[in-house]
Amino acid sequence: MQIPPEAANVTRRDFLRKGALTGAGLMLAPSILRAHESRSADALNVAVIGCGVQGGILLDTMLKMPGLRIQAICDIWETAQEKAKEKLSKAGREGEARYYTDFEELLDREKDRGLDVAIIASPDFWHAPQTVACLKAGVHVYCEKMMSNTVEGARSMVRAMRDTGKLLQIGHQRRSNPRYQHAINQLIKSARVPGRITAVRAQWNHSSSAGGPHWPRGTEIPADTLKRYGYPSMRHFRAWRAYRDYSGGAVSDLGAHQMDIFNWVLGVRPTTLTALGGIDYFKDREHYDNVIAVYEYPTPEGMVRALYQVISSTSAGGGGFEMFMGDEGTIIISETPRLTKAYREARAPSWDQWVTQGYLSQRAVKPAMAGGGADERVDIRETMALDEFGIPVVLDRPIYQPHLENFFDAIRGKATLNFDGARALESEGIIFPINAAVAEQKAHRFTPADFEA
Amino acid sequence: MPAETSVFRFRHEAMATVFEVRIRGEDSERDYFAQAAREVFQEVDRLETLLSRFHEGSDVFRINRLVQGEQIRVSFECHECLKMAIKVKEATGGAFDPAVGGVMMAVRGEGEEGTIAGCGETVSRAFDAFAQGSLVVDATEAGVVCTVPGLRLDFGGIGKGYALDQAVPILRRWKIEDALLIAGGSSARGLGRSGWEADLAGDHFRQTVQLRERATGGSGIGVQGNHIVDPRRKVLESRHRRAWALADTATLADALSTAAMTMSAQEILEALPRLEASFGQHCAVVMESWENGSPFQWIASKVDKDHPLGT
Repeated sequence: MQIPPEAANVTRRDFLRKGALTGAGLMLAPSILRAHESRSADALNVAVIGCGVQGGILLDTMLKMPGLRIQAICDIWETAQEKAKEKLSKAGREGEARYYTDFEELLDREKDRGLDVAIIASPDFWHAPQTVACLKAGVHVYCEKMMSNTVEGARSMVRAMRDTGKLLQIGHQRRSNPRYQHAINQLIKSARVPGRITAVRAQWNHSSSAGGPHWPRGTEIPADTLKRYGYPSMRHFRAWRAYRDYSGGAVSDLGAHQMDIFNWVLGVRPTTLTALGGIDYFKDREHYDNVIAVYEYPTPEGMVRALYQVISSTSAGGGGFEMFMGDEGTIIISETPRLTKAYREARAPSWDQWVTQGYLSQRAVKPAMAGGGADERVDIRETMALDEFGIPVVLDRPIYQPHLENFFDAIRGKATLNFDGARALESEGIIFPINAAVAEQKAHRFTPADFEA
Repeated sequence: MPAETSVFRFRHEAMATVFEVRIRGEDSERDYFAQAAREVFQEVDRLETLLSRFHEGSDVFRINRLVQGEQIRVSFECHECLKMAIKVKEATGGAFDPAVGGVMMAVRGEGEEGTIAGCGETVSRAFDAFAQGSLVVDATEAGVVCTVPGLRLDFGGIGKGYALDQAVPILRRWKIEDALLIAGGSSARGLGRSGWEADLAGDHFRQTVQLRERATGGSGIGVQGNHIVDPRRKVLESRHRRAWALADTATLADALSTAAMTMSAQEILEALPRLEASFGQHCAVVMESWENGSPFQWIASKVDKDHPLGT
């Protein structure tokens, strides 16, 4: 049902009441949304620095969140600026943002226009200088992980956060994901559902595509601009994840998310890292495309060995997940709901209480117990399946939204950051030594310096 | 010597099916085309995170969980699909309705609605359970308000076509003008004036159409069996074995082919001018059925130069 133009003067409340009475399925109506909060006086003013794929996703998410005004967009590639402009235009917010190539110029011009926040999603090697500059300009920062391509860069960010008193959230979005929070804080730590954890395994195998020019013809950035921002060529800019000067490669791009979960669950620093890897497939890249890293975590309950694997030439293994293996069960957590599961060991006590209390949901119907019944008789059927359980927590927003919400709530004084710069350095400290450990074929012994600013 | 040309094919799994980009061009450009296709597939994946009812946190996932009076902002893309769906619903007299997604899943025994799987002919029970809600879509701003909870939106009837349409500006940005976009073997959109042949293949006939800046979408019961829910009669029944629609955009072709499955030839004939007025696109429908003793019928609102049968 479409409301005719003459009905446009029907008040919002009247229309919604009428809609509720008719129960007419899908309907179109004029101006039924409450006023857009981006125009309110207390909206936060946001700059997005680095508006490629990830910056675009964060922008998409923020355009659906209330109370934010996109004040500025910065990217050295005009094509990225145009895409951002198109997103704002499609959202009916044309003219809301000013566009910049240079982040320092953005800060100079926008900091006195009430800029509150910078969302930094540029290549890793720009994170530290941009974050430090924004914090020093009095702007709160949400910066994508990895914090930096070097541990020195990450340390400088933490020091700037402390010196300025401004907020710095690092984009480990799993920290604000309600399913991860439930699985780790409730299932593993509080209820101790998997029992004593002895081993951890995580992976993110992905079949990435080879080489190529990576940009539409005619959209090249001028050579002097590329050079000013550290890129010898357009390929270096577009394929920055392939180069050692700009990033840590797949093991840090993807592993940063997942190895952070090792630290979150186990709650202690690892003592030792052993890693193997190589450029086995993509010969035109500088980073390892096949890495296996093993950490030793001496937890109060005993040693836990944690294995991380990332292969760039195959998606084998079913996507990205983190698996915590205990003597009473296994919890598998993932940003992909279908991969999130829990399995009970046959010797473990019943998990019925956790199902009843809503900690777990039972997925598979338990078959009749083989060997059940009276002592003198045995019930023989097909092989008994392990009990399989689900984790009944749903993320009802876009995947990055809870972490962004936590950041904006913290600025408004309604929350504390779920993952500030200091905690992120503590976590990412286990990742920075991986590439050197592979290259030197030598175990890395962690010291406090790996984790502190 | 003229450069060698070929048709390059790139495939990608998304939206529970396979997307394919075919590009006609010089052999030396293969890597360039591969990168353009890669950007198309990234966009398809992004759209899936917005439009799939199964993707946790997608706009549709959130809409289907709204409580009474709740308002949310959605993506421009979801808003566009909602507005488009409402227009097609109006023009087809309700034969197209993405709000019956939950009903379709329930009668198939899939998804969360599997709790009433096996209800067989009691489709009306599924309507009672999964098609009672009411959702108001803001005509200008990208947002919705739930007035009655319980609606289960599903863009399965237009999502793939919409993704193909969104790929077109990407290919144009890559300066690729001669390409064919395909989703799941049931939706296709051709770019360029040289044209791409599409075979509308039924059990008893095969008709070739030229896709020159045109799209086609197909629906049918030949592969999945009788899974078509008629939103108007509230029954699990289609009037035709297959239906194909032609339009300028794959979104409209997809929606129209879905609607046509439960519409009579006369109803389609009456709906086409309304669709043309609403979307500014010339549409046509081909059906494989048994109505009027003919194995297939071709209905268009005016002479279709891409088809020898005309109206």
